[in-house]
Amino acid sequence: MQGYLRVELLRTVRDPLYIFQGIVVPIGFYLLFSGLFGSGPHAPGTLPGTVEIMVANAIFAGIWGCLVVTSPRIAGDRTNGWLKNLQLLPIASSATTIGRAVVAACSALPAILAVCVTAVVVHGVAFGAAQWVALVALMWLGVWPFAILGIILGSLTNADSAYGVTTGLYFVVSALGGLWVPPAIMPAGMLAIAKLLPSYQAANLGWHIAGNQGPTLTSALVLLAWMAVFILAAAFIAPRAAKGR
Amino acid sequence: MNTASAAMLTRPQDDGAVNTPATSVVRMQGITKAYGGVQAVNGIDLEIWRGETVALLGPNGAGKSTTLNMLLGLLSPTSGTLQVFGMTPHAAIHHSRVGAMLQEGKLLPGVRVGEFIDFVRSLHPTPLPKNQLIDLANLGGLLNRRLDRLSGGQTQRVRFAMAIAGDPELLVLDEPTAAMDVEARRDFWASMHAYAALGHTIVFATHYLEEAEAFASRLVIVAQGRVIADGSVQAIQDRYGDPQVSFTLSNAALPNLDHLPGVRESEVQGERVILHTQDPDATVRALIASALPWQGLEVKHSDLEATFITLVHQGGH
Repeated sequence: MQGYLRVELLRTVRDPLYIFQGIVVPIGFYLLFSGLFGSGPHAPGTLPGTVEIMVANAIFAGIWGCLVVTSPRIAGDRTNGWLKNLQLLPIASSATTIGRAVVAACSALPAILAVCVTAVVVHGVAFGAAQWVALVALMWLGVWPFAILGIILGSLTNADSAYGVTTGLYFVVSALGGLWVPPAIMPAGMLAIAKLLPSYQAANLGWHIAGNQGPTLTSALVLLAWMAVFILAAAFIAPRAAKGR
Repeated sequence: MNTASAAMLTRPQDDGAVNTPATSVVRMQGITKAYGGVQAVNGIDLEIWRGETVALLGPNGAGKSTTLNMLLGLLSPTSGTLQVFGMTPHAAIHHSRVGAMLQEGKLLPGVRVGEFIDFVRSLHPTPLPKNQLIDLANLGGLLNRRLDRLSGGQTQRVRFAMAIAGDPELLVLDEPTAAMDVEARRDFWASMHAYAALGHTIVFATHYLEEAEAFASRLVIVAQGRVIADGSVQAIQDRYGDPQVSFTLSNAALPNLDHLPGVRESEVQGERVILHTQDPDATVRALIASALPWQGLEVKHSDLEATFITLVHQGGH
């Protein structure tokens, strides 16, 4: 499996789509949103706009890092015949699926870091070293369910539909999850929906750490529940999709 | 019983490797495959023995690729049994005993040839030494090239390396030279000769007759999902070929020529008499010895192409 991990990672770091959409675009989004909404004063007990938007955009970026290297890639690999070639090699399909999930999770980290570094450099966002480590680590863990979601989407779509379906779902889950508008100004009904979504709860982990609070049990449970559902679904769907003609 | 049928089926190789008791590599019994109402494979029985180089020949749509896909476990037969080294195709691949090269399918974009070779070798317990692999697949100058920046022929060489990296006993190739130009094709068969010379069993599908004739020790001709002929090139030509001796015999009453040595059948086309014979030499000698005033004698030996066309045509009815 290390061998497979290595080639998938090499493929990722040389993939212009990933470099651009996974790292460059999130930096741009952060600069745009933080420039528009981040500079105002903030009420006591709330996060500065630059920090809240940093967390939201880091999650937004991390989710895309997970999705862009899985869904369109798996669908493309199946459509263009690489998966068939892979079946002629002595490697278990579970090993390749796990390898892809690990690569997806790894791809989220540079995206998250890119947004954080931009926040430090451009807006002077500052935390202690331990808080940065906790913040980045929890935001990173928070987007892992999307690594598995990417595998499911890649198994259900084909080369033509994967990108559109994935982007559509990504935008919906980001918008409903409060990554585009501050949750504080969301209507109560929308907020209730947001709290059920992994996108919101991943960001919520980050907001809590940034606000010097511990992560909530609710965030952890919601994320673990999504992770479990996605893993079960992927275990059922991915092998069938790989075998299908 | 197996040794007897093996002796009939197997043409001894130059190196005599198959003179030892034959080992079955592939055993297919009554294999069928139906896709949504179409019967792609219609009852194939085939046994392949160690050391053979078998060409699966047939027109497009004959069921060659479907048969190979089943042999590789990429498709499951609708009915029948199939064993590779006494196990399922999937198990044979996972024991590194089978390597295969498909007609199509992209390789990993962004990854360099050398990195890809390392990856594939790492999957096998006893891979071919890297230098030998690079030599056999003729990849020496390409190791730093990215897989998505290779020509069609170069990609096929990498696919070939991928197929033989684990030093498999059985190598399966589906129309390996379809995308190659003449020079690439010649180089490819040279690589394949080198690999076969190591004592491996090779099964390949092709619709290039000259490749099958030049390279295979045994031809399995498939039409409409069935095996319609099976044997060495020579055996198939002897059995199904149609050598002809023809000449002009003007204005004479046609004597009965069917009794001449070798002649199976005679026909007249205008002034031209055509003798279908099993033994053109004997027929010609008899004609020379005869008093017939023939002129313009021509001998047409059976070529594989004509034999093949006849067979496929007959097999279709």
